[in-house]
Amino acid sequence: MKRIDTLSLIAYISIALLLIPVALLLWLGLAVYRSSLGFGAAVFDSIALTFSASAASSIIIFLLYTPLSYELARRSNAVAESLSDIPASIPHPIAGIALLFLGSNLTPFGRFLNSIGFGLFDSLQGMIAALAFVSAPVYIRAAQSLFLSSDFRAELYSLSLGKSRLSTLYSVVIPRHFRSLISAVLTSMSRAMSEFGSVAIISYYILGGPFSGFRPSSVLVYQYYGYYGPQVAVTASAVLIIFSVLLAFAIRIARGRTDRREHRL
Amino acid sequence: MIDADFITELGNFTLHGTMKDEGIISIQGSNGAGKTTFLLSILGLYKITGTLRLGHMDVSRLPVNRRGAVYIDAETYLPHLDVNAHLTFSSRDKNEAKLLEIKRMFGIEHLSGRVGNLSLGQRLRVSVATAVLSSPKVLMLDEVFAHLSDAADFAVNVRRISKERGFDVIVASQEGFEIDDDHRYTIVNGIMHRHY
Repeated sequence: MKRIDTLSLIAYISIALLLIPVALLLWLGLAVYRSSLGFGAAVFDSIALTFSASAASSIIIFLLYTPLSYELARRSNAVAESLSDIPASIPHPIAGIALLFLGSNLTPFGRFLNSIGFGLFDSLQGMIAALAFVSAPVYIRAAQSLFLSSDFRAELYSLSLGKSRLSTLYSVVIPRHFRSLISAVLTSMSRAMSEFGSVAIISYYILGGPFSGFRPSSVLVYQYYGYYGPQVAVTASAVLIIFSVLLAFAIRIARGRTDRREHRL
Repeated sequence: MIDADFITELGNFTLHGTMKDEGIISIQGSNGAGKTTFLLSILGLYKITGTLRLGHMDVSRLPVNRRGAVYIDAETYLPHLDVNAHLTFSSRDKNEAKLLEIKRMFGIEHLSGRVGNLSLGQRLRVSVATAVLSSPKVLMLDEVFAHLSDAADFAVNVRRISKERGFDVIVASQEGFEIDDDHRYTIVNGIMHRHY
């Protein structure tokens, strides 16, 4: 008879602990309550808004923070590392309040944005900014760990051939690790999709643009819970979870074979 | 011309890098003697104290990409590029005839596909050819010949092209490796000795 490995048993029990609340929500939302409001157009609109804003924020994070992740991996800087962690360490409603003031007429930056009709409050751009702000540390840490664990000799070779560090980043480092970086981007995107605190402050509703009148998914579930009670909220939550699971599968596909081991210890 | 007189300190190990020669220069020593540390110090990976001139230019404070020194070992290649993209990675001269000449010289004219999929020996040939096309001042080969089936012929070609193009070559290898060099050094516990 095959013996059960204790470590594997603990590992799979720990996964079950993570899945129990999710599975319960799916069962209650899709089988027990099945509120028609939970399947309403507003839910799918909110998912479209949240998915689009999260994707946009993740692209911005990739473009802006890949150089920082690489810099931190190759030139250790404790101060810069601590500073880049700040968005992750402050309560997210505070991040929303900070962006609210930054985008207000109290600051030159806010006055400029408002003067060109690009204000942050109750707008898609405000939501994207909030999601990028709170999700950036997730990507930075993932990309930094990836660069740290990779051999640097190809980069050294590129530098010795006369390429600058920036050119080496874009012509050697990113192409070599593109699949893993996309996986890190999708991880930060899934973190962005679950954001509530900051978007509830800066973009409770979206006014204007293609998503006018839409609400972020987390805000919508919170509203449904307050207005209609948990029975409706749980159905909307179940629909949201299905989309989140689809994103999790996308991350798995993006990783592909990069972290598949041929051996078993 | 390589004019080096510096000290590199790595933990408990101290390297006294001294060299004033040009042409084909071999450095021999046992494992841990300091051969690679010397080469990587010239490259600019390690901080040095002292002087370092390559081609009469003080490079001791320059970053790696502005020194004109290329370091090659078994892992220095760009695996995601195909052979032609690798060869022209840093070359400003896109002359097809010259490219073909270099490919023939290093026996890689038949190679194609991603460099990461080539054998170790084939990768080394591509890496050296790429370095030659980048017009370096110094080409540093760290234990390269040990991985090549036709090391003697390859060394002859490296010597020929270095004379034609006017760059110096430092070849680091284990003790006892014979190469047609202009100058020879041995290195023991971080101290370099010039033989000729």
